Amino acid sequence: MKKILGIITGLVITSGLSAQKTSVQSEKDFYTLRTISIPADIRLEVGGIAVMPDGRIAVCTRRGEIWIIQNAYGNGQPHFKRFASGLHESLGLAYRDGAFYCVQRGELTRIEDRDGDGNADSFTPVTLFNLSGTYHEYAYGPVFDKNGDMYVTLNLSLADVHGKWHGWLIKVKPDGTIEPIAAGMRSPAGFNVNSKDEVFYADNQGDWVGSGRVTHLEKGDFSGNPGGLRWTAESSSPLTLKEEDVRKVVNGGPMHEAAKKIKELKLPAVWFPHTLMGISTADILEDYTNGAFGPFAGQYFVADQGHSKIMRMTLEKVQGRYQGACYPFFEGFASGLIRLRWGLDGSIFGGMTSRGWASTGKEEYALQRLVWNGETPFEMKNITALPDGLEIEFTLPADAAGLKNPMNYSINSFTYKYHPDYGSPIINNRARRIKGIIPSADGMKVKLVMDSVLAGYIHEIKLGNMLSKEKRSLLHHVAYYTMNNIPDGSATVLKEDQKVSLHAGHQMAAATSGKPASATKKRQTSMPADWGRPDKVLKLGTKPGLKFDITMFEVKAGSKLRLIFNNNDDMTHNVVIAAPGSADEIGDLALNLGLKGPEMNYVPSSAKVLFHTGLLQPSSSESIYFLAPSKPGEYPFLCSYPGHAQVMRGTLVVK
Amino acid sequence: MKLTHKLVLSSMLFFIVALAHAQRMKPSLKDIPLQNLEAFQSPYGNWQAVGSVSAAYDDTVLMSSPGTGVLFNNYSRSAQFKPGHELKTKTEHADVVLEADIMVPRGSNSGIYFQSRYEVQIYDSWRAPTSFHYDLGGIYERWKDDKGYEGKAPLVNAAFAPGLWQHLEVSFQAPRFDAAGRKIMAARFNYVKLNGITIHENIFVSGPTRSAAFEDEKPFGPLLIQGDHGQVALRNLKWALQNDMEIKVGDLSYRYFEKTAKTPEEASKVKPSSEGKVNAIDVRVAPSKEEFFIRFDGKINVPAKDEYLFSLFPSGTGSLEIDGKKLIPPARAWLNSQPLKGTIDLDAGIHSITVWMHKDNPWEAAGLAVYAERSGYKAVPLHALPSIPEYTPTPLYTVKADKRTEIVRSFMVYKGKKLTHVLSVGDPSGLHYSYDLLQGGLLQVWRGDFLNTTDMWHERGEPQVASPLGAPRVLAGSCPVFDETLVKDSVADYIYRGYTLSATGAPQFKYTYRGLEIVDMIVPGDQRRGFMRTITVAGNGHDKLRLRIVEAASISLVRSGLYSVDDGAYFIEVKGGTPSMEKYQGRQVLLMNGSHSVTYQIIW
Repeated sequence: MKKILGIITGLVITSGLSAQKTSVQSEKDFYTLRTISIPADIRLEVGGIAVMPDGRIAVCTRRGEIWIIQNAYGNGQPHFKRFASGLHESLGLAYRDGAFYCVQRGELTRIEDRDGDGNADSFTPVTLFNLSGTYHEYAYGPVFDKNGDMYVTLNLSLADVHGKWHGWLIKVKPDGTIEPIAAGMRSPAGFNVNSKDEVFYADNQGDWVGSGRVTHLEKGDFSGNPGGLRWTAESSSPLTLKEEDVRKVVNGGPMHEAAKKIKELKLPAVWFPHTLMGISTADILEDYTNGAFGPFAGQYFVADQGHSKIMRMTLEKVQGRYQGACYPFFEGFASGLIRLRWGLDGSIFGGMTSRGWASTGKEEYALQRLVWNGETPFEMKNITALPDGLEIEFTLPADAAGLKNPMNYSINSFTYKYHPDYGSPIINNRARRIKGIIPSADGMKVKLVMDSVLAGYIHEIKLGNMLSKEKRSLLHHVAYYTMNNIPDGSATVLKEDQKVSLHAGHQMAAATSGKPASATKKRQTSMPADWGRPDKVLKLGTKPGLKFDITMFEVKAGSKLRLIFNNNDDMTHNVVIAAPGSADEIGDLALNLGLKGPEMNYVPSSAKVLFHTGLLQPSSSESIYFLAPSKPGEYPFLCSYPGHAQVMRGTLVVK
Repeated sequence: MKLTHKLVLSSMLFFIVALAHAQRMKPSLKDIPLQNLEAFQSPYGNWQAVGSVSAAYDDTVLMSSPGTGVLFNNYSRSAQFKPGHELKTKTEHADVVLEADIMVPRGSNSGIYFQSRYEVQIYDSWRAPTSFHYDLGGIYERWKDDKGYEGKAPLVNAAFAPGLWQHLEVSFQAPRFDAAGRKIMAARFNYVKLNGITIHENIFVSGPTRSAAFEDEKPFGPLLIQGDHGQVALRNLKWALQNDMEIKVGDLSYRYFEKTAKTPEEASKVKPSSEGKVNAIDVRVAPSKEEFFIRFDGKINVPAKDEYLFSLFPSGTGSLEIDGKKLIPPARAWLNSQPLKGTIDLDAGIHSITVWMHKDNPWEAAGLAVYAERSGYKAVPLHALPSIPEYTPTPLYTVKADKRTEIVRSFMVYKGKKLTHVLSVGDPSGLHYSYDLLQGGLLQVWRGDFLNTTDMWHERGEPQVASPLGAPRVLAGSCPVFDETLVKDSVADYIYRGYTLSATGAPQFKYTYRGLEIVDMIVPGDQRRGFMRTITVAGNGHDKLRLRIVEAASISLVRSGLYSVDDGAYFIEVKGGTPSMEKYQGRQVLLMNGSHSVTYQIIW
């Protein structure tokens, strides 16, 4: 009895001293994720969130309903009231002057409660959208600008038929007039009109889009996917570029090379490297809370649906164009995080749905709120470009010794192919040599001077085990800066104590290298000559929603096996057969491969990986040949692609 | 004893699997001629062939006019429960697929007895809130010890109004007997559909219905239509006898080419990746299911000289040859689409068969099925049943409108075309409609449960279409104004302006048309007979406007204000005012000219 009491007392004391922790801290030490309980009989597949000035919030759903929720900020039971229904897959909602504005697939609609009974009774089209009838023609928005005009983005059809202005950002005037603004969008589920009335949108990896990214859109811009260029012949189109013009130039090189030949092609302000940051960038928020949400005022938060998380983004203008960096911020949302909105108290409401696109958060839908605890995490706060390097600013003063230590820095540069294929491998990946380190006197900043700076490239910045002056550990160690342009200015003159020896600068970079993927013992793609024929052929395909079509095979120990993996999904997958009980470990190792992931097929070097296929593009297949383990047991097989490994699994039962 | 048990089980399994295929293999139906009554046994009682019948929805009597093509039972009270008024076919049937249009006047009662024993009920069940076995389409009960038992009510009440033609489809399977004449499997209704909606599926009946012509059960019996309960008319009476036939497949070999050939010509030049003997055409002999060429060569033994129809379901490009003749030339098809077909006259005996398939699409499921059939007989699979991949239906998603008006906006397939701006309105009274917002077109109406949203809300919802859960009556769907800007069916200046909801949640649609404001309101009408639609026009120049009530291939006046549209498909009852009938591009249009408003009820 006494013993138990003692333990309890000890716990209380420990948590009371949390401010003095020097151990590794987690995101949850600084931000709290609160769940808004959804009544069991409501399917809240969130498409849009509108924050009302009286403390209620409204949510529109994929099933065409608008729910108004009271007590969304409290800890007790929230109150749900259905305000409207009958909307067609509503994926965006705004509230202005007592009315809701929401997109449906075929319409931007003003919705009002004229008699004040709490139920919508008036549905007025602001404008109609032309549709071809394919499911992929989604509409997002509206987001109001300062004039009260509404921005809407229209998703591209994946079929041979196309509704007008799909693949575009359009502006809708209150009288319903459509002003097409920019083309080149593929899946523009998230966009933001910032405090300067500028529009930023996030796109998802897919055909023509090598990786997730955020692009600043101005009138006449073309952001990369030419599907929507079929409408540039319309008289209201602000550009005349055609898909043929794009295809003529494209040769599988990087996007910034193509942009030299296609003047309309707008480079992303920030790339969000696929699987390294997220897998499906969604909504964007500008932090105008003036510190109510933590130390990131003026920056941006970007949701990721597939990874159920929020990433952070900083921007700066260089040579008149936006560019900047992305950083990990907070993960662990319950479902596919598609929508973000600021609450009245400077917290973030996150609206979620996964349906048909599996997400790391396993719920089918959810609504959560992220609240800052008031403590400042030790983070890379901002990264800006220098004429010959990068400057990192921290949220807290850094420990002077760590700041000066070259072992704490590595920079890699890489980019993606600009081509009609789905996604892209990482190309031109190179370690950058850091030749100088210049910490600021207050420890808040550090300049990293490189031997050269590559315009057009994404720069991966990795920091080692740095501590703040107060011995707080760095919360996140990686960021990706997109260097579209290099600022003017003269090269930094380094003092002797700021110089970095050649040897030291490469140490961290070398640590991340892996070996390239090719046929190995673990990936035998042709039948061994002495086999004659396999004892058994295992045929494996996929089902929508990150599933294998078969989740169990039974084989004899030591038998000769041929596994045919037919990737009939629209995403890339592999198959890894692993030692019993090691599926989670393999998944984690694959995730941690970082930039090396793609070239290694996301297959980590581990004795626990027994056999594997390559990373298969959609609609492709591969056969591998291997001997079943001699020891009977249950051997997991999984797709080790980041974000898939947790769910896309099966078992090879060896008897 | 044990052996028999096993045999019964395995043959039942066979029937269940075969059925899933057979339902996609709709047999070609043959008319039962209704120029006269020669297809039927005499005496004919009250039955006669007439040219047409009609009745208003509240008439208790069908009016007929002379001619042929409609089978009419001119029942009168004097015939009630009297023998001699049932009509039996001369042909006896076993398994059969039957379709007919039927019409009853208000309150009438009849029935179709399969093998003169198992009854599908005909009854005026219009608007019945609950369905019983004695309702239209019900499997009528059996009778023992002064008590009814085993009746099966329809899954939903799919009945239309009296005086309208209603469509019935039945697939019946006769009981099976062993060599000693003992019944080893009960008769069953594979399916019964009324007005396009399935109301029974795989229902077994343990013996003859009450008042059947026979108490015993036999492999064959005539079809019987009851004539001593009430008036009834039938037209488009068609059936396909589904007798058993055996076609033996033998001497069958396969040659498989993994990615090394696409055509028989290419295959003839390379060595097969594998080859061997098989008992049936079976895609499972292909070790890879991605891309391959496979051919089967063998012999079939057909039982009689006749015309044979071959149906091929390839998962790729397929072809079929009989005796060296390219019966089905190479063509691309899908397992889930309509089969490739070819017919040939064959003498009884042995013929050669060649079937080949090139599967070109790695992500398509591999399957190969071949059926042979001849008129009057059930299609015979020439493939092993697992040669078609297993299919699990998607779980159902629905929207109910039990307590309040529900609105769902969706894509919707209408007359074969996907419309993109469609609103469906479910009313708690059980009357529902779909509406094309772009043109103000009333697309379809139905009763019963509201809406099937599976294809919108399952996973990504790729088809994104909603569909009625009840029996839909598809309407003209045309724009309510009629003018010279008509481009096909669309009116260019008719512009959607939104809708408001009434206190009960029913929408009122708003449009503008050349400076005029138009309000379209659709609410359940008197006694749930149908929807009452009111179109109101405001603004200068309304007196020149022509409001289109309905446009159809045929519109006939039943009585003052009541019209039968498309030969008994549905009624339009105009409330107030005198519409005019005009011809437009070979069709008839019912118009109200220069009026502030028009109100009419769509009754079905």
